[in-house]
Amino acid sequence: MSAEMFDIHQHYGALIGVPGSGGRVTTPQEDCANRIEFLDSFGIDQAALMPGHSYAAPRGFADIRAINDGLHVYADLAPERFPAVFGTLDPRHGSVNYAEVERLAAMGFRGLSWHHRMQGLPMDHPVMFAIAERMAAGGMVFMAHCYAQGDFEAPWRLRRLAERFPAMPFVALDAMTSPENLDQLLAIADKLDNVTIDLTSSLCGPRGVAHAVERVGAERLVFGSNFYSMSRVARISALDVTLEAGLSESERAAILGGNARRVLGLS
Amino acid sequence: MIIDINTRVLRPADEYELIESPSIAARIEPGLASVPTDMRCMLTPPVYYSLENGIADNRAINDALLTSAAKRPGWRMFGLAEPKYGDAATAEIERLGSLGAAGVVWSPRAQGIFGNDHSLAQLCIHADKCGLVSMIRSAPYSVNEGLWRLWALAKQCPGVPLVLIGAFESWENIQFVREHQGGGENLFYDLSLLSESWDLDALVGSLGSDRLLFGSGGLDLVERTLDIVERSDLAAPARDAILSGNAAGLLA
Repeated sequence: MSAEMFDIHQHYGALIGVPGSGGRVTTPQEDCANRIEFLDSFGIDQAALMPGHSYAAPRGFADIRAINDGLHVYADLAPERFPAVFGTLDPRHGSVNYAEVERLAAMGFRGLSWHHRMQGLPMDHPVMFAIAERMAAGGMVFMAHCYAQGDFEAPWRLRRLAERFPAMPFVALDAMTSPENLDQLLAIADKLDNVTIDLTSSLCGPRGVAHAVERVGAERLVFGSNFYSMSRVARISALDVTLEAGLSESERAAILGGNARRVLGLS
Repeated sequence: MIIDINTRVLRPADEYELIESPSIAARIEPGLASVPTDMRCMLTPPVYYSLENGIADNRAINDALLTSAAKRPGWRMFGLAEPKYGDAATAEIERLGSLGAAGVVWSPRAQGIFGNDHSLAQLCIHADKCGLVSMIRSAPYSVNEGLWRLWALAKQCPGVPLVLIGAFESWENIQFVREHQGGGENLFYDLSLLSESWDLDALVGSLGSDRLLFGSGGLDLVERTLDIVERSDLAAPARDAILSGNAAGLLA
């Protein structure tokens, strides 16, 4: 397996409310040590970090700022392993988010991430366009979960944003969570060069990867594990299906690391 | 007197712009001017609103609804609390109970939580202990508010009545509810967003009239929903139960 593997899909935080998801909250130091152990066990060189998106925020915007600040501190525990950090903003906090985009860009956040079905507004709400406009100005990457049948995070909503901001990279996370979902996102990626397909949590098998490569090319796919804080992972479905898809060595290397580094501007 | 159990105080199109919570108070009264005065209305909160200030935003909306309801004899309100706010949500529920609210409306889709989440079940049970009826929005096609999730929620709350609101917006949901005679016996349904009177006739034919409540969705929808009931073929006892009797029993 390549020593250059890059995992674009890891969460710092636990997943609340999904039975069997595991994970727990502990000190940043213990969390980091556990995460690096996970990376090493699968031969993953580096990873991008984003928050969990099912947070509680009873203090409103102040809580989200604290989440972003905590993530920034956490990544500094091992910057050589976590070279790209993504914050989040709660769309329901409205216009107060706009200045936060600029603050996070200045802090070195590579972009922002969302899981809209957990964050209470559709991906294409006017607030999101206003946020995206500022992200584009700051050279950031837009990471959006597009889980199958996700309603607020449906592929067509991503398309509206990606069309409006053609110079900004969009990563469609959880794209392979159903064959129908994958085909919708491939149809979008086929038309929009700024959309990249994430293989995390694949439910489409190796054939799904082969199909995606055939449709849009290997250079448009990225690998992710969906690792949450302190979770125990026996296997990574996205890794298995990529290795079993009958790809060439260069295609595999691109999907497992090279593409993510290029999209994130790390190469 | 007719009881509208779901008089939503803002038009959805207005909510969508994420109105700041303090300004919601100023918008309620002008909207309510269009609601008939010869019925008892249970005011329900918007689905979308700013949460910039967290639980304080919830309180501001609840206080505005309490104020508007108090101005009208017999009217009451359903409040809100973000399920993910944990202890802060629990405290807000208790405050609503102490202030005479009728219940709480939960919006899993807009509150970013799955409708069958264990923590939501605990909050519904707690609300019941505080004398509050829980109503849960059931937007068709929402992964968070799918009927199967809300039915699973009801199973976690045995003996606690749950009113699903907006479920009849889609024909598919209507068929599902009919096929299963309404699901668990602690499940009730309002009529908001129902389109046709013959669907109401069919629903009564499948699950009876005891668990259907007149809830309009508010403002412009009050007359429309009343018209659906009027155009139905329901016998007088069923009509009376839906328009007032069932709600009176639930809110007693």
